[in-house]
Amino acid sequence: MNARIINKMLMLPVVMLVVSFAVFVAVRHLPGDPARMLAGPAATQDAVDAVHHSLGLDRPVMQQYGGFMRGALAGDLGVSIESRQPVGREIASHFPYTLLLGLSAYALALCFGIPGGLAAAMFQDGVWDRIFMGITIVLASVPNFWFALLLMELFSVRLGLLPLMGAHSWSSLLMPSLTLALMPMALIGRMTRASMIAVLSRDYIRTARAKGVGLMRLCLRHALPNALPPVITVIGMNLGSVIGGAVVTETVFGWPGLGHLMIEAVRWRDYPVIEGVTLVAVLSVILVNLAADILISRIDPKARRI
Amino acid sequence: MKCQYRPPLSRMTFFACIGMLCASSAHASPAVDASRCLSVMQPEPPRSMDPADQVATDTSSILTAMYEGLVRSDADGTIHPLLATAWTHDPQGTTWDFVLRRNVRFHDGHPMTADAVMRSFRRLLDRTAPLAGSSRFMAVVDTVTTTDDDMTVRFHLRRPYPDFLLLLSFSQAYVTSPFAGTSLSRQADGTGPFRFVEWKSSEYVMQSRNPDYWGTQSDITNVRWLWSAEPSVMDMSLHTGDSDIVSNLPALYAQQMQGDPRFVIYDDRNGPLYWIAINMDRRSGSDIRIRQALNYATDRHALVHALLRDRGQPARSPLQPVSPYFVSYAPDPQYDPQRARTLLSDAGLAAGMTFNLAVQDMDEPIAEALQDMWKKSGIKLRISRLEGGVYASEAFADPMQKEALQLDGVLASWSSGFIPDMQLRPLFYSASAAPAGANLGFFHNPDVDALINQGAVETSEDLRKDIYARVQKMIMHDAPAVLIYTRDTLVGMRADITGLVVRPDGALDITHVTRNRQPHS
Repeated sequence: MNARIINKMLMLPVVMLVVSFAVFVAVRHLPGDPARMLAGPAATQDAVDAVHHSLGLDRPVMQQYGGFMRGALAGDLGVSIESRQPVGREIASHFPYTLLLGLSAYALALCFGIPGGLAAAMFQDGVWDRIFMGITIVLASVPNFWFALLLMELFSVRLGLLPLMGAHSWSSLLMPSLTLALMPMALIGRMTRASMIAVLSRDYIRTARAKGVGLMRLCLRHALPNALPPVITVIGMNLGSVIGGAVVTETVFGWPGLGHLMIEAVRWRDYPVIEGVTLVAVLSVILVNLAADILISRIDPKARRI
Repeated sequence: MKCQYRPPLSRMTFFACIGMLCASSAHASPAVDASRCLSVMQPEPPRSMDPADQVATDTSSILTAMYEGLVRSDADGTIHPLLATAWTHDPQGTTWDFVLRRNVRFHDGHPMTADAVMRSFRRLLDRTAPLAGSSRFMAVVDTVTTTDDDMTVRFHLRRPYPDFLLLLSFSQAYVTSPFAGTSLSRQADGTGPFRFVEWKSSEYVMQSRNPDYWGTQSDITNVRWLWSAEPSVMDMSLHTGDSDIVSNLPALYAQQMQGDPRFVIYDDRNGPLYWIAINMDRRSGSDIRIRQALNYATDRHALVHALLRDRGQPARSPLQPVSPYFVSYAPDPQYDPQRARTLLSDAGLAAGMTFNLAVQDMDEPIAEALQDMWKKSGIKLRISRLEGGVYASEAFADPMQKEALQLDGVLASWSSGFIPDMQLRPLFYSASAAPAGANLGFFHNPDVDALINQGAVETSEDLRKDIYARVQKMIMHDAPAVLIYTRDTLVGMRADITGLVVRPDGALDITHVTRNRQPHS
């Protein structure tokens, strides 16, 4: 394991501490009061104050943060203001759905992006390359929300092939995955193409070609492994942020993941849930990037020496 | 060296979520007769399974199937016995005795007795552990006790309250089992015709028919409650059959469904009133001529036609038209841009004025329509479109904060469920001025306050009508608000559904819903 990865691992607790404090303070300075939201518009100020007190929100922020950190170190992220359930349990029940959605979306993106980008690079400036570049521009520009509604109208309302919403069966996963995969498809595809074009112009590729290595073998065996590190970095950066990207997709499709949980928590100013989900999101980004670094160091000899 | 294989964490988690999806697949396909199942979609998820700890209409709809109050109310506000079979009160109207129905059991098997009802209400009124729905009951009810009779419960009110029975029909007053404990927030335990089965956060609430229900058994065996904030998804779910009933359907979709034999639209006219509370502490609110000008500049008929597709009524009073106390004192014509200009000119604003309005994101179309409308009278409307939480903090800001924000008005909506005191007191009573209440423009008129207080305790129906007529007249004259319209509550249903009731508080009552034929495929 190289020094860069060890450094990142050592920095993890520091980053989490800073993020937890920043989020804790920032959330409490958001306009809007969870006590008012909970008590409703008809509640008197006394009733709102009583809810405030029962939630412990009338204590100084630093005192609240101290309590939060003591709990967090013991594995207790507090209790949701809205559902009155432990935040850890809420996250545990939603996280697997986001993970499944994220992984299936990236599986789709990889299936399209790597072969597509590879073929575009192999036939640079050809017809397929132009079509592929056009498709990736469309994929990157289509709004998730609009695409999701189109899919629902076509496959659920018109054709009746797929469930409209929820997470009742495997077929429920198809439309949300495809929607979430749009942007990564474009990113991975374009990155693969660009990276392959750069590698294919290297001397060792020319040598291999001169020695009579076939095109497919040349690309798959000689060029692709060396073109992959930038692609893995891009995947790492984006896969970690899937929770943020999944907010719209999960909300439209009623997919019970962390994005859905987060949007409801923000709406009702459910501070403990916002803090908990943010920490999980940050931890995911860090860990996925760490995993990407480790993977790159395994397949790229140069990275081992950094 | 011993080598031990341990699956990596990511793989274990992945298997866990696959397992969860398989489990949910298995759960979603129990062998039930689809023609006896019901699926209802609403815009919002439930807040709690504890009726006392919520004030949301969509949550009330879910709870109404599982809980019962002492009395129930029809769509027109008529009171019927439910868990109480009879009631009496003293001549002052401050002590009420309710005789309870016998042989009623909670879903946990415990009998419903006077002691259980008393404990349920004491929980609602407990000031040491305040619940979200408590405040309106605390203001009316002092104590709840039992009598010598095991099946009679007694309420001692702080003051006479003529609408007490209507108040008791509200979802916050549903009777909960005293044995439910802290699990009540996630697991309902009432006496209603449906039992709680499962609440899957961010997905659904499942209910099944209560086989031990004391009353007539429902035709429906299973109910699934879903939610989506996206109106087009709600509409699509009705078309695909994912939902049989969709509450709060936007008027545009209701219009599209009209004439389609697969659907029917339930149109309930007891919808919320939309109004702009004018900040009385700023220039625009301090002069009655400017307030009246804002009202004359508003074309309510055009707004109802354009935004509600005529599924609503132009506002002619601070009370809803379905209220038994409604009287229209609105000027005729209500829309007169030239008159508005003249009034502004008289107020020294011949060159026009700017009005800063805070509006919640979902109500922005109303503000945009007004922007164009008011321009004709020389009023420039500047809109602050706010997210729900931010809006709540600005709408309920005190006069100094509103001055700092330079807010001339707040666009809001309100529904009182037929009780005039719950409409007029929060919105126009001096002591309800924000942040204490929803008098968002700080309207203050001692005569109006006195009449609101008189109306709240007056037991003579004729005198009450007279009092509330005078209140409406005074408010319409003072024009502390631009009353816009009342929006009908629209419920889209598949054509084979009958028996749905929309209660006065806006909640759906599916207790008597039946399916008349095989569901549409």
